[in-house]
Amino acid sequence: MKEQLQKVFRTVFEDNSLIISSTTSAKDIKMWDSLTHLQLIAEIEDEFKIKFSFEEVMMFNSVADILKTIENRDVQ
Amino acid sequence: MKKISSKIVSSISILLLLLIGLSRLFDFALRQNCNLKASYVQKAKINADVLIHGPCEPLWFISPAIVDLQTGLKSYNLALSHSDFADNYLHLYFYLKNNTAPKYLFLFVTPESMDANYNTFNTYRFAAFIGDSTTDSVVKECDSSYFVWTKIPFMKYAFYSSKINFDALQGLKHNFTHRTLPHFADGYEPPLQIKWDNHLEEFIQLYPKGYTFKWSPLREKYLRKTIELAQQKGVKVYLFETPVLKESMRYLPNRSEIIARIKILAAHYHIVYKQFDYMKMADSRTNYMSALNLNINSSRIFAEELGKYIKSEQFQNETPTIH
Amino acid sequence: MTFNSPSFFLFLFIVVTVNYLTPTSFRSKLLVFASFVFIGLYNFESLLTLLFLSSLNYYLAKKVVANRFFYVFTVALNVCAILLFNHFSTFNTGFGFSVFSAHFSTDKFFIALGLSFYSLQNIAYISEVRFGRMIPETNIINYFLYCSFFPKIISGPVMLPAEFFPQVEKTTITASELIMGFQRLLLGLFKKMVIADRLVAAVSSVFDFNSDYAGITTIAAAYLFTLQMYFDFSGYTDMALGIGKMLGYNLKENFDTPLRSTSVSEFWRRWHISLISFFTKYIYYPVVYKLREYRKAAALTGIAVTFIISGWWHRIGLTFFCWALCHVVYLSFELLTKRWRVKLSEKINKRLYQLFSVFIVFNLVCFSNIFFRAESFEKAIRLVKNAVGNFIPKNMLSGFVAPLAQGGHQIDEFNLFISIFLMVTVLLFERKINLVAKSAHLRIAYVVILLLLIMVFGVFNSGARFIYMQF
Repeated sequence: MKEQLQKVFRTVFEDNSLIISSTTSAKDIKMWDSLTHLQLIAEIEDEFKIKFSFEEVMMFNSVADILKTIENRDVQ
Repeated sequence: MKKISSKIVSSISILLLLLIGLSRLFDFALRQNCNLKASYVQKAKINADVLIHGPCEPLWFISPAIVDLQTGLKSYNLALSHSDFADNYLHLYFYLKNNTAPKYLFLFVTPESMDANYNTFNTYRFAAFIGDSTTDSVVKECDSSYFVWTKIPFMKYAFYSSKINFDALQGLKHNFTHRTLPHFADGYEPPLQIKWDNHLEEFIQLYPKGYTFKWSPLREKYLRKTIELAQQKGVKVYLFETPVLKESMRYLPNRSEIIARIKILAAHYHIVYKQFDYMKMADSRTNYMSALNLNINSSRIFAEELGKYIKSEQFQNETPTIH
Repeated sequence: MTFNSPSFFLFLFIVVTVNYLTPTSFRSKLLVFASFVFIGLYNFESLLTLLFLSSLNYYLAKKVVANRFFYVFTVALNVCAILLFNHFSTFNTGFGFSVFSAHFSTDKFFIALGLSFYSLQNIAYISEVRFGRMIPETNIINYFLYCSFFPKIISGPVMLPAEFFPQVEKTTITASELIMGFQRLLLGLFKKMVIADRLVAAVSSVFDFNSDYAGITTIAAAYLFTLQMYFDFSGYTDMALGIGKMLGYNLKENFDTPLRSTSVSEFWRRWHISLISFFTKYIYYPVVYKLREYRKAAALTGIAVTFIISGWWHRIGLTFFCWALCHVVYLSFELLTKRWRVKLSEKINKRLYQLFSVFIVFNLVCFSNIFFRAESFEKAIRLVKNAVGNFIPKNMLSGFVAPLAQGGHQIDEFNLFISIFLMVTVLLFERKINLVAKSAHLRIAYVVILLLLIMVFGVFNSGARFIYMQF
């Protein structure tokens, strides 16, 4: 799943050499800011075929948060 | 806690010391500045025979050199821009403290002088002289909120720092270079403009129905005090007006009424209110920068006329009356 | 009473002392009372408006959870209050009336002190309650404090409920808070009186008069206005936060040395932070979230909507709309060229790229501020034409120095030189100065130097209002 997520990050931020870990946050990626954040979220939703709620999106601070939410959704 | 209170006490003490020191320095520096008339007349022995006094108009129009050519006397221009009678009064008081009383004082008075909307009491000119009882009483009356704050060290300068800092620095410079004469030695400052400045057009727009002068009791009080101070010292006082542009007068509906009141006041002191509105220059705006302000050429002609008038008065005064 | 008046300092001294001596649980009542006194002294109409609006929001909050109509109604009410404030600020249509022997003026009810700011807070509160993120406040005194708290009533910072309510009735005040608060307050006073107010005349002489000045003169005035506004508003914020601190409250930061920003989006994370946080949370994110399938277009729409509303919040008019439009253009450009700019920054020398970016951002912000400051749209266009037209004046003294020094006499040039020198010095050492201002250690040199500079160079007699007080 992390591989899948990484692919999305690479596409949205136009950088094929990008490597993400669970602690990666907006501070670590130059392209990731409030203007591009929701673009990223929309791509992730498309890729994993899920929909995040507004509250969930606002709570995302790092890759770990995103992964956890996707996993919980899968379980359901 | 003890450390903090000692820090607080130290801060306050150091600050007060610095402020008091700086205040003393400014007191000294401002009194050394020759370009400040209040300081200059208390330092230098001018001992003029004729004093020209008032706000911008006499300051910019009347050159002692031109007047003296007619009279053979020595005159000094004590006038200052935007000054009201209280401002004039204090400058005359300072002058008389250090100089012999002149024979004549020509004080500029117009309806505008009697209206609080025109000119003002420029407190910053007197900051360095707070402590003198006459100065204090005038400042207290004309700028009471300021006066209350002068109790705090340096506050008298802080209030008007944009006017005073530069003057203090210049005063120190004058002190170091031992300068004794002002930039304008006889007090006259030639006007900066020559062309018509459109103030009359703007004035008409602002007051389409004309401007009604409002007689200010405070102005009257200090006009009287100025006359009385001069007369106490045996000075012969003349109130005078320069020629006003005739076309502007129709926008001033109660002008003649105010002039009449000024004349009554003058009569009370047995002094003349000399008007020069007979002069031809008043007919055309080519002689003016604005409704009240003559341009440099016509001001020279006026100064000559004033000189001639003083000469005739001098002749009258010195010729014994034949019964 | 504005913050830089002597009567305010007396009021502050009394309130801080009494508050310190009061038991924690009673402080909120004391501060509400003090805030009401403060607002009432400004004018009585403002106090009545505040009481009316805050009570209304407090009571309606209990109904909005279950009822969508009440939510929409209450938000609309607060928006209307802001619009009416705007309208009456621009047009003088009020009239006076008397009740018993008290004289009132209708427009003063609408141009109530702080109305634009606490109305945003009311909207935030109602929204948080509606979306289940907080339960309605049960103590009306606390709610009154939220709206009326005098350190922030004049021009913010805008506090979100979660940032303010947890602090109420839990304030601790020790010598540290008093010292930190005081040193911060002093910095604010210095920035306002010594830097901002000294620049007013230079800015006004170019923006408010009918003369057409050369390009560099107009540009210099635009630079000076941005700097004047920065020092005025950040100075006010320092005073607000300092006073809040002395009363035991941590109010939100509004500025983070914004003029060192390397992009306009970064600028908006560092300038008037509390206002932008509000608009980002309640307008930008909801809009973009709803439209997120449209990817970049969603972000662009979000930017446009957020800034246009922000422009309207300041004042409804063409000039503020243009100001907002400038930033929409800037941010859109940044969004669309982000990848390219990141690549560029990796190729060029880092320091050079940074300096160049700061310079560009500063110029873009100053350009937009021509619209923010100009008296009318026509004047703004004229100024823009001047800025790009005849660039260098024939005579530097009369064409450049004189207009900025209101006359070009030696004394005016001297004053302008001092103003710019002090401003540049503070800008260069800002980070260090801020460290001392926020420190809990009383620094004698800091206190003495600032007070001395205030006395020698401060503007005492203009009574210039804070720029953001008009919003």
